[in-house]
Amino acid sequence: MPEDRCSLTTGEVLDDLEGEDAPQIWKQRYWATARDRRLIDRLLLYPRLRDQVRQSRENSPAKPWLIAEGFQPIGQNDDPKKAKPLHLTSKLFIDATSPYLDLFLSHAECAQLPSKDLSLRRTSNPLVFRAPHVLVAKGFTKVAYADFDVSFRHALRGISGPKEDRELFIFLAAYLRSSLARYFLFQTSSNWGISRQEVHVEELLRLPFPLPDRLPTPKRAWEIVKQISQIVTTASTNATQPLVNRQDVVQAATASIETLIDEYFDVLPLEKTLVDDTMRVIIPSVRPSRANPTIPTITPSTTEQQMQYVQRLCATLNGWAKNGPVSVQGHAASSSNLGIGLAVLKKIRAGDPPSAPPDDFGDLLIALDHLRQVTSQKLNTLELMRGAKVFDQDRLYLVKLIGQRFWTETAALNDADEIVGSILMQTGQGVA
Amino acid sequence: MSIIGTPSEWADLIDSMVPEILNLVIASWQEMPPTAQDEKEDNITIALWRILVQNRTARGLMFQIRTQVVELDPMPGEELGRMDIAFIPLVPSEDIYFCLESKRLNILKNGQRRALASEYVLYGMLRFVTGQYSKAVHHGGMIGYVRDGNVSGATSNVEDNIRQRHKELCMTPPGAFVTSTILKGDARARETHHQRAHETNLFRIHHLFMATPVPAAKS
Repeated sequence: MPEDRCSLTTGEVLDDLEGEDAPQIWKQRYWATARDRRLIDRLLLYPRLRDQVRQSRENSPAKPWLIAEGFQPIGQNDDPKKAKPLHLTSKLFIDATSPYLDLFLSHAECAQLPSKDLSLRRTSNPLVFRAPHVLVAKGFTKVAYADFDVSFRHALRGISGPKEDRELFIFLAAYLRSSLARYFLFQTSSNWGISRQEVHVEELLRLPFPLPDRLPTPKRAWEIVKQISQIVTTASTNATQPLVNRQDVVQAATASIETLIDEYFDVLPLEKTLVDDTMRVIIPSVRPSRANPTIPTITPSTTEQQMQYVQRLCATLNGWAKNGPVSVQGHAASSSNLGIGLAVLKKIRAGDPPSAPPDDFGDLLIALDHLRQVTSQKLNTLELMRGAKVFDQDRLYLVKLIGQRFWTETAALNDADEIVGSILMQTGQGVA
Repeated sequence: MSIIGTPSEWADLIDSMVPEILNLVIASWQEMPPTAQDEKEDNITIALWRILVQNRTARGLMFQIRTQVVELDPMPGEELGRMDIAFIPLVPSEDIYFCLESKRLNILKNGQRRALASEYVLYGMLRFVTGQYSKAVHHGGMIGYVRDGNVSGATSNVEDNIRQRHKELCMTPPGAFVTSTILKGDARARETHHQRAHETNLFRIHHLFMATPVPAAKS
């Protein structure tokens, strides 16, 4: 689709290379829209997880937390004489495939190793198996906080640190599971969204993670950390009660946590829309499988979604036009047979009655033919169907494919930006 | 997505964004952290830019705010410029932006007070007038970081320099500040009007002279 093409300037590429992070400009043009990139750029201004967490190879006493992979057991083809010893403080062990690796982990959900002394192909930093710690699957599919010493293999990474940071570790586990963290990693990590779902350790550590004292309102930030810690601790206790469904407990806790995480990172409703659309439409469409064949991006949008799109588009434009004498109203229609939808905006003066849909709106073929005739450029219907914004006097027609990707509220925000940019550019106003 | 047709009938939908931008800068300045007396201009600009990007109002507007934007199409013989702060709409056009150029004023160097008013005019204002910055638009912005807090003194020094160079600046004599048409009651805001060689419309530079907070002296 024409709108899937991205332009990069040499300056942007060079600027990206000068940054502290590994280049992200290519990945950020893959799924992220212009609005998404603004949110990512803002989040990147926060201190990062790497400012708090050191890797095993790092000698950074200023970083009190440690991240490391679990151990690698000896395989059938390995020479037992070359095995390396590891002494653990606990026999408790959790496998990366365990369904219990979800927000929190309890003793009862872990397996028991035969011994605390292991012979391994590759050992690990034993500190990473000590509580308090957060366990993260490499594919970023599972995250859990463990309040006790537990070991794991290399498909998991652990982040551990001093006992006095317990509440911060619980907060970290909750944050890593949040939509915001998943959104950020999806849009910035090199693999996820392009090939297999994997988040490299440097990418994980690139996550925005300001400690409460680094935020504009540290008192409220600490309250949020403590509230989330309490929610997770309570959920962990409740999950051990008889006849309680663990998944339900985790789901309820997650709902409370999401709001608090958004407040911690000052995510505005406008920005939350971008995160939600990515979680709901984009991420589930990446690498569909036989088990999960639905692809929301190309699933036809519903009438309700089209209405929400038009409402968001009009509200955004009218929000910017609040001092002017005019505003916009809109309608949408679609044809699943043609596979396209059409939104039409009409500019009205203050006090005018609500605009009605155009007469030819009931039949999209007639509407498209009308659009072909009103434009001075010679267009064929196929060109129109690939997506176009057509200004026709006091009306603006937006022709789009019917797939949900084109009718999200994120799409409405980006379309509003483009419409205003076109007005400013073509009327010679510029921003000024 | 292809844009077809002309939006000339839609021009009255959106007002100029300049008032919004100037108010954003003023509001963000309230949150500026203290900076050392000898702080570099770029560091002050980056601190201001960070606050602008985090501003809740700015996040809902239709432009991105970028700093140190490389100007890709310099005038022949000119050095490649870097705009200090640029407000850029999200459209594939590099011409449509509001540039905010910054300069320090009244700095203390080697124990001597230096006004730097001529640098403000030569390496700031003149870049708009020659079209190096904001060639395709009608407004630009200058922000003076007044390091000693003497805003009226800094304004007066710059105005003296403008008078001396009013021909270069394409201003009608005597070449003076006018009251800001946008921030009417704000003594820190001024405006200058320039008849640039390449256009018929007047180009307006919006000036903001902001006292920079410095750390409290140790007792």
